[in-house]
Parts: sequence; structure tokens; C-alpha cells
Amino acid sequence: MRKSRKLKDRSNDVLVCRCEDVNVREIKDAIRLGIQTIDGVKRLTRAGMGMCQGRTCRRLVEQLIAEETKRKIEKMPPPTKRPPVRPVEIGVIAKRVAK
Amino acid sequence: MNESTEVVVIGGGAVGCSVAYNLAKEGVDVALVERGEIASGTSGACQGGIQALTYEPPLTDLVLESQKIYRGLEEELQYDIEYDNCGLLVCADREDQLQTLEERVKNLQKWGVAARLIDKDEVRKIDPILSKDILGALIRTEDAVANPIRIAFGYASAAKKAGAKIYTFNEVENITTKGNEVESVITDKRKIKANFIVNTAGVWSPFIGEMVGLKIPVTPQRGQIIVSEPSPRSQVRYVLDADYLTTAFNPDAVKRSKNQRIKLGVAASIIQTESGNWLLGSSRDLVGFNRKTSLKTLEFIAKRCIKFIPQLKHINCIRTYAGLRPITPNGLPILAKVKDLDGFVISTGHHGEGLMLSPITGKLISELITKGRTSISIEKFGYSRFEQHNVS
Repeated sequence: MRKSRKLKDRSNDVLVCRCEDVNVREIKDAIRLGIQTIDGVKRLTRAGMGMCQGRTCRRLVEQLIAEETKRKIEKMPPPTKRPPVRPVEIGVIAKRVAK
Repeated sequence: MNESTEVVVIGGGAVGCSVAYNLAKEGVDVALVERGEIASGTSGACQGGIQALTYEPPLTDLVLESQKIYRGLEEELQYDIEYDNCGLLVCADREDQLQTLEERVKNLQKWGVAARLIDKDEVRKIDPILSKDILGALIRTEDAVANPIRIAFGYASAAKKAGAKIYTFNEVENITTKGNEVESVITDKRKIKANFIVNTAGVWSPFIGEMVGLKIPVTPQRGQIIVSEPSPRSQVRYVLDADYLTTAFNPDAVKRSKNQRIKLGVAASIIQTESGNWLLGSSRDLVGFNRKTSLKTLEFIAKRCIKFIPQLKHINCIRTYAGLRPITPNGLPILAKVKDLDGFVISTGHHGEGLMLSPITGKLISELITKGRTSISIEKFGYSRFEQHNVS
């Protein structure tokens, strides 16, 4: 298996969050401002705020924070998980209310 | 690590960051300590409405002054807070609500808040996405929405530029006093000597109060919100339910109500953000520090919001969240020095209005510290009314 390069060595223009169009540079900038958590990166850059709710980019964001702050991923607080697990139409949620 | 400064601000929400900025701008040495990250508490879990239609005196003056500051805030802070002067519609879908709005518009004029009542046809003319069931609405074009997280970060970064120190991941463990004066704030990372300590810890401010033997009567109230996928920006981007006047400001009526929705504190509060996502609230219940969402409440929120904007039903919900609002027994915030403890300043209990009031709160607290008096009276927001309940 090909050994993957460290994320920080890649181009700053590489897209991390596809839903919200956030690249490596923007995430590194947030970390340099003192952000140390996945939720913090999300609040400041919107990475993980889109349709997939971080399913695609979470691991990448995690890795970037770990590399930039020289911490182990296991030591980092996990992001807050919130319902719904999959997108669901607002009308479907409303329909559950008993008449 | 030991250091000293003039003022330590405890809490990195919108209010705390604004206090730190306003002090730093005046050339005061200030350090802000926050146990998590900026906007990781209540400011990161609200909606972002900046409106004047639901407030009454003595808050009205503060709200109007805050709105003035908001209009020029992006320029002042050199930071994009996604301020959108979209106006607010408070909509009625029942006759009794219409009467409430008619009374309200008369009162608003008395209080100096520009607003007018529009009928069914005019509502639909403004934006056809609004339901045919809306009988009338109160409209105020000066109202706006903004991104709460960016407001807190904007204040924090401007404070930093003006010389403030911002210490995130610094949890306050103790506060020391000397005689009847404050002496220092001790966090898990450092000890900071200070002449003034400002408690802007919101729902957590009672824990800070306890460290100096003060009982601060603030309780967390949960509010839940549905986030939708982005959709094209509509003409109307901020809508409130006339029932919001009841659920947010009339706890006795909520208690008396037999309506299950009102009992859960649910009234529609609809905002479309700059990114196109819809934020659908609102609810109010007392469940301690529980920040989970509950399906029953979300169902009522969804149903009530669809009542006002029917096409929301075809848009996907991608997330839900809940935040804790710091509430006080009389419904007003506490903005005050403490009589028996020199240098201790309280700025908390902003209910769901912390974001709305953060600019003026920062300004007033800064004036209180640097000049000993404020440009708008804060007498009604005093602390003495609670002091008889001091913990010994």
C-alpha cells in the first residue's frame, strides 16, 4: 500500500471540506489562531457544516489539527454528534406531531 | 505562570469578547479567560436575530443602542460578521395574535421603536413564500440577522489587535480576594492579578460567583434549533411567530396554557443565514445543563415553522442543536458592580438576548469600569435586589 504523505506537506489549496469548500490553508489559519478542536475548526471555517456533516472531512480535519498542534488524535475531544443521522425532510419531522 | 493586568474578563462568548474589546479600545490592560474556545457555549448555539420588536422597557433603550452599534460593527471590528439588514416580520396566524400585535405596535411607537402593521395582502406581496394563513404582521426594516459565532470571533480578534490577551482553554479554578477587594483569577494554566474581574460566564456565571461567596440567580434554559440544507436566498429571511411574545416573555401564560406546543415553549423563529441554511427555532425548557435535542420539541418546531413558510417542508434538515440561555427570576440581565466586593463586576443573565445586547453590554461595562458611570442607566439591572440571598 502506498504510504500517504502528511497532510501539511500537501498544497494549501487542497480541498478538505467539499460541502463547504474549505481548503487546507483555511484550516491551518484557524489552528494558528488558537483553535484546537474539530468543533472549533467547524465554527470558524464551516468545515463539517455542510450536507454530509463532516462525514467526508472529519478525519482530515482531525489529522491536520494533530499535525499542527503536535498532539495525538486519541487525545483530542471528539466533535459533538447531533441528530439526524441522515438528512431528513423538515416536513417528515413535522408530520410526527399527533393531531 | 504569574502575571498581572487591570481587568480579567471571565467567559469567551459574545458578551465577554465585547467587554474585552471595549476595554482594550479604551487602552485598558485586559485579559479574557475562557475554559473552552471562543463561542463554544451559548454564543455558538443560538440563531443570530438582531431585533427590537419583542422587547419592552427598560431593555428597549439598550436594544436600540445595540442596533446602532451593529450597523457599523463590521467596519469597526474589520471583521465580516455576516450582518444582513433583512428586516423582521412578526407574523400572526390567529385573530387573538393580531390583537396582540395591534397593541404592541402602539406601545412600540411610545417606546421609540419604528414599526408598522401590515395586512394579509401586503405580507404576500413582500414574499410569496409566506403562508396564505398569515393574517397580518408587524414589520421593522431596521432589524437584522448576523452570524453569532463570527460576532464573538470578531470581537475577540479586534480585542487582541487592541492589546487584549485572549486565553482559551483556561478554566477558572479559583478567585482570590484581599479584604473586600478582588485580587486574582486562578485558572488551570495561570494566575492573573487584577483590579477588576468581570463575570461574563453566562449560564456558568453562578459557579464563578460561588468562588467569591456570591449567589448569582441565573438558571440555564434550553433552546433547540433545526438546521436545514442551504437553499436559494429568499426575500424574507427573518420571521417570528406572534406566539414568541408569549413563550419568550410571559412564563406565567406558558405555565397556564393547555396547549402542548406552548407548554414546550415552542414558537416559530425562522432565520435564513448568509450561507442559505435555514435555522428554525424556538423552544424553551428547564432541563439543567442538558444540551441534547428532543424529538418531541423538534417536531413542534418543524410543524410551527412550516405553518408560516410552507415550502420549508421539502427542505432537508441536516442537523439539530440546543443551547443554554442564562435566565434570571425577573427576566432582566444583571449588569452591576457588587457593593461588598470592590472590583467584582457582573454581566450575565442575558436570556436569549446575549447576542443582541453584546455590543451595548461591552460598552456599558467598559464605562462602568473606566468612568464609574454609564451613558445609559443600568439601575434596573442592579445586583442588590439579589444580595439578601448571598451564600455565607
